[in-house]
Amino acid sequence: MSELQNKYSGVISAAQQAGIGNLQVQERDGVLYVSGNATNSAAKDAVWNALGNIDPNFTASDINVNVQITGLAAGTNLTVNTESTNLNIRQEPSTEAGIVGKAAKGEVVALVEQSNDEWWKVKTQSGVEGYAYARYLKA
Amino acid sequence: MKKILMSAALALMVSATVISCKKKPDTATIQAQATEVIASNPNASVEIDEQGVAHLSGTYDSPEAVNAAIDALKAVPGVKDVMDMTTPPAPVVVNNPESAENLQKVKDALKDFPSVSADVVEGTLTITGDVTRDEAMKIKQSIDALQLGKYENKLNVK
Repeated sequence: MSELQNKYSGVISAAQQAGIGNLQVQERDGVLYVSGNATNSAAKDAVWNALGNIDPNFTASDINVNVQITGLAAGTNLTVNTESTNLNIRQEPSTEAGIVGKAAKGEVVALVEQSNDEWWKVKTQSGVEGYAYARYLKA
Repeated sequence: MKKILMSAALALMVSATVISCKKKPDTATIQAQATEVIASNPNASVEIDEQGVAHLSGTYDSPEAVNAAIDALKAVPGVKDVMDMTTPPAPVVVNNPESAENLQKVKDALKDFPSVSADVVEGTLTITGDVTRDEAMKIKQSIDALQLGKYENKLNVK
């Protein structure tokens, strides 16, 4: 195990324990890249909590953690997990795009498709369909 | 051929059940031992099925390393066979932080943190600003996912 792998072994073992799929641990230019797929938010959170134990401020530049929640079926219920504000539902997958609706914190929306890592298309309870920033959706 | 194999496997299983007097290790025990055997490589995982076959997946740096892992797994008591489902490692993808597309993605990621600013200087992204610990985590989650290479994270966590 390399020095970086040792430093962040807690992150790696958390990823293994959480059942992160296609787990990749690689080094490039002094950065440890840890990537893989999670089937739900809890598995992803487990990896990030482990990082928080080693890098309490989450500002380390020598580790890159890229755990994506993938493979969710259309219709999967997602909970809006904003700080306190409403989640914007947009026409296109960009914050530049117009807002077509909003979903309140704690509201359950249905997944239409995981368009990309950052933006998922969802349908709100009031029937509005559009793109929401995936970071605020709990699966 | 498949049929023959299947019936052979079945025959083996039946005879094993009939003849076996020794206590065979159960799947959970085999799984635990097999997991330990390959634990030195965080990119690999192994699953033992009900027939005692080990399915090795993930990536290894070299074919020799794969073979060594297979041999080690075959030595685990209770492992009948090893299926090699490993794939060669994919190179780390590093995206250009200066492309319009990625600049927009950084902007999207930071939109909800008005005190945080991002600059790209000589091809390296730098983010600065005052944030809470939880915000710092969210920002790192989003920026890391963009895979923009090594970046300067100068967030001041309150």
